[in-house]
Amino acid sequence: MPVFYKKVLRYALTLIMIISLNFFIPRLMPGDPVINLAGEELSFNEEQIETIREEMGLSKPLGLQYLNYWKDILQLKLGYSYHFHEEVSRLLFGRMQWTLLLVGLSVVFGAFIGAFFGSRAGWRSERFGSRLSTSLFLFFYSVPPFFMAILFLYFFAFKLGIFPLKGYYRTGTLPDIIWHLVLPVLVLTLFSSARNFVIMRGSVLHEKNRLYPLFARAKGLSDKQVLNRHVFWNASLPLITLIALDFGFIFSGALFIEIVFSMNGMGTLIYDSIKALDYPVLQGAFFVIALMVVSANILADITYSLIDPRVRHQR
Amino acid sequence: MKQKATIGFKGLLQFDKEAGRFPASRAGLIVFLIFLFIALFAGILAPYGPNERFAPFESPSHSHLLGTNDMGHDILTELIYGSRVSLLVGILTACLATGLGLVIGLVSGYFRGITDEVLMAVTDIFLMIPRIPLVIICAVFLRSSYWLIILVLGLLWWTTTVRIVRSKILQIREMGFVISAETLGFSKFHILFSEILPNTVFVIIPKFMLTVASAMIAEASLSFLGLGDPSSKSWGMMIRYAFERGGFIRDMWWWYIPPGLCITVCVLSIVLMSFSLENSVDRFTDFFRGLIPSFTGMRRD
Amino acid sequence: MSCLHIKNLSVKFKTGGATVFAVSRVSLDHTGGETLALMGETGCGKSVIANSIVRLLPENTSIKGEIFFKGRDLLKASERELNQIRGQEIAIILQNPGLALNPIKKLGKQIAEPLVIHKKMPWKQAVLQAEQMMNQLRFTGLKEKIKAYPFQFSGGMNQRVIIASSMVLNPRVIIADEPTKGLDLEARKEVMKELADIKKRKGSSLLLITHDFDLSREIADRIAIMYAGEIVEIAQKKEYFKEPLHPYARALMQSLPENGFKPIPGPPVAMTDPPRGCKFHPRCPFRIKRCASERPPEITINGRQVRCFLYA
Repeated sequence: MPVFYKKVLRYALTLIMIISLNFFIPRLMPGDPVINLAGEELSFNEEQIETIREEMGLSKPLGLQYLNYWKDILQLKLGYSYHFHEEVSRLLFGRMQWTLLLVGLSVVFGAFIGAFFGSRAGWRSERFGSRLSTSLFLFFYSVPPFFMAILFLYFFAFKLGIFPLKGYYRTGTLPDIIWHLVLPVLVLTLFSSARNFVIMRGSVLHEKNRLYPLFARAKGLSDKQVLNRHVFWNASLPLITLIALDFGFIFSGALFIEIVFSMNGMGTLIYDSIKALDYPVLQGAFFVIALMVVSANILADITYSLIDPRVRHQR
Repeated sequence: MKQKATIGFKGLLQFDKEAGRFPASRAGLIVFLIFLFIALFAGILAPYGPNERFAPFESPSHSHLLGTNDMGHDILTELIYGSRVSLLVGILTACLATGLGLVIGLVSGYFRGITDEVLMAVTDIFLMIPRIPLVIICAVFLRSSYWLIILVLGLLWWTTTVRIVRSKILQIREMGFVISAETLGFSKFHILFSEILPNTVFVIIPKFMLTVASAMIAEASLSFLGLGDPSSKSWGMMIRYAFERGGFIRDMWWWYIPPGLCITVCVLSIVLMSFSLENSVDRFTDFFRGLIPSFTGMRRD
Repeated sequence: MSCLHIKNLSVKFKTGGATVFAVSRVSLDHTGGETLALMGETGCGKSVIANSIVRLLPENTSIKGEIFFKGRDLLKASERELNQIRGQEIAIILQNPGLALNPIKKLGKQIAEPLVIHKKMPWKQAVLQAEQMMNQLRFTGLKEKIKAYPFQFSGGMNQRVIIASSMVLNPRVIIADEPTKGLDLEARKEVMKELADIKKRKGSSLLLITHDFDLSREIADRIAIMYAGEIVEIAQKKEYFKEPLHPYARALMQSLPENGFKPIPGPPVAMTDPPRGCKFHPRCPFRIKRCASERPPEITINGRQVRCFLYA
């Protein structure tokens, strides 16, 4: 029981920390806090700045501002973007679905591909095929995701013209969406599967020297059967937690891929906001991303405790 | 000095012996040393000076092996000088992150109790903070520069090293030479830094290398967004300018593919090196323990 | 009728720089239906022999000799043939039950697994059949625990699960490698009872690897004593316990708690550099000059076999 409460406490503290970071950073940065909070739209004049200052409650004491900030956050009010002329939350949640689609598909595919090839590479690590796949996946591990995206864009879209170069879902029909998604999902999947491959390979290497695979062999299971029926599942357990920890990384990778492929997700939104120095969007994005990372971790925690009988029976 | 050089050389030989089990990692070492060499001797190796200008948007030719960029700079020169920035940012970030991780792990593992609990909780929290978005936010508020990247990434990345250090400390603190030092009355800090520290350093070497690799990729990605320093271009920065200034549309692959390949190959070489080391850290540690005397002159078990 | 016929088995490992001579030219006959106890100190090579029979040794071992089972040399059999034999015709019960079981799989499934693998039975049916078998064998308390996991139970319980899973296909030969090691008195008694039961009901041959004299006294038919990779004496149980012939066997009996705990003089053998001639001669109170240079042959005396020049 105490373990459970400790975990809840940690997640709660993390969220508090992130929200507080989000609150304090713009207020502690050099420059006028109004600009820091509203963005550097050049079209502000003195009067507008004062109005905004009032609206944001910047003249009130810091403690009160902090409490009001929490009130807003809990209602998911993330501010207003003067650059895009829209509520930040509306902007973000609108784009987020596309990013989540990309990330979701890639995490799932990447998990299967990485786990499958990684387990085989770890099981018979001396074989040439294993060494080859290890080198290949290490290569994918080392390529920066945005560069891989550029390469794929270059070969498959620019040179070969198989896939579209820009934009997406104007038509919104399913085949059209899929056609636009193929390359980005492929790139992010390779990225994610490379990380899973390395972890799975290590995990299998660790498990194969234990006693239970030997006993399974003693019962008459063939080599493949020992891997598929025993070692693979035991070795997958640490993969679950590690995928969760990695989620932030995969998500960041997705942003860059979206930028290269000019997709309609959070990546391009962030890119434009950087150029326009639209601080509210960037802070809102930071918050949303952090929220998703924490959620992924919570989800993985719960999944792990459901799957591993040793944890399940200790509750 | 000579002793350090002998240690360094013997260390390389030992690494080579370990790496012999994974021939690819020998290749990794060689490649990485080549990159280091290029970075150190950029001035001699580059065909032109970093600020020399020629006709812009030139295709590769005899005088410009990789052509020229939008400002007329020779791309090959840019590439060679870019190695300095990319490698330096990666290494410095890893130093900061690993150093922090080492200290926190040491303190946490040795003192245990409530210090340990608190520090581990802090580690878990920091683990979940998304790094690249945070760097983006800091970089847009302040002037974007490589130092900012190094600082923010370094202050966030110590989390991976802490756990490894801590578990090693938990092992070591029960060992003979630590307990004898304690009973002899040496102060805790003294024990920490002259007995325990030298033994843990080698555990973090593979992690240090991987952090360098990850930091290089992170820096390249952030530079691609424009958050580096345009006056000294890293490889990532080069790709950004190629993208932004029409290199992609004009099909000038010689502009952006070489820097991308350099990042990939350099990171790959580091990854290969650390791969073999991870498997043989114990043998490596034992080997070094024999070479380096304790600072207090006390003998080890 | 011989069930398992081991002929001139020698096993070597390479570790670090040295070669370990684990087993040296061992020959052994294991008759159908009998319980043969292979005994000796830790490191004498008895587990190695057990693992050699089912070919479960690690990759860097060199095995020489022949092991005949049902007319076939197991050491020359293909991996596929071995997969058929293991679990179905020859079952081995490994040491360390807690670790031999897969921690994330239910006990019932682990017991029923050989049925699914070898007889291609669907899982539900296999688990049912395993339950029935255990009822027949009067494995008490196991039935409710089928849905549980290894970590929930003690070593003794886990060991019984392992025994059950090796019984499920009624193999001809069961090799039990130190089945009572590390278990407390209570668990040890349970395991002994189980093994005795199996022997009575199923009529399979049991090759018992152990250093536990109580256990062998209980259930063995014949006793074989090993020292430093060689078999030094084989005898029927009653005769052996009445009077062991080989000097090492005698010293071993003297070292038991009930006989006074007298230690065997001299250092144990270094398996990387064993002595020439008789392996026991440096510690033997009866040694003669011959013992240091010649390896004593196996001498048959009164229906027993002893490897010692004393009886030449």
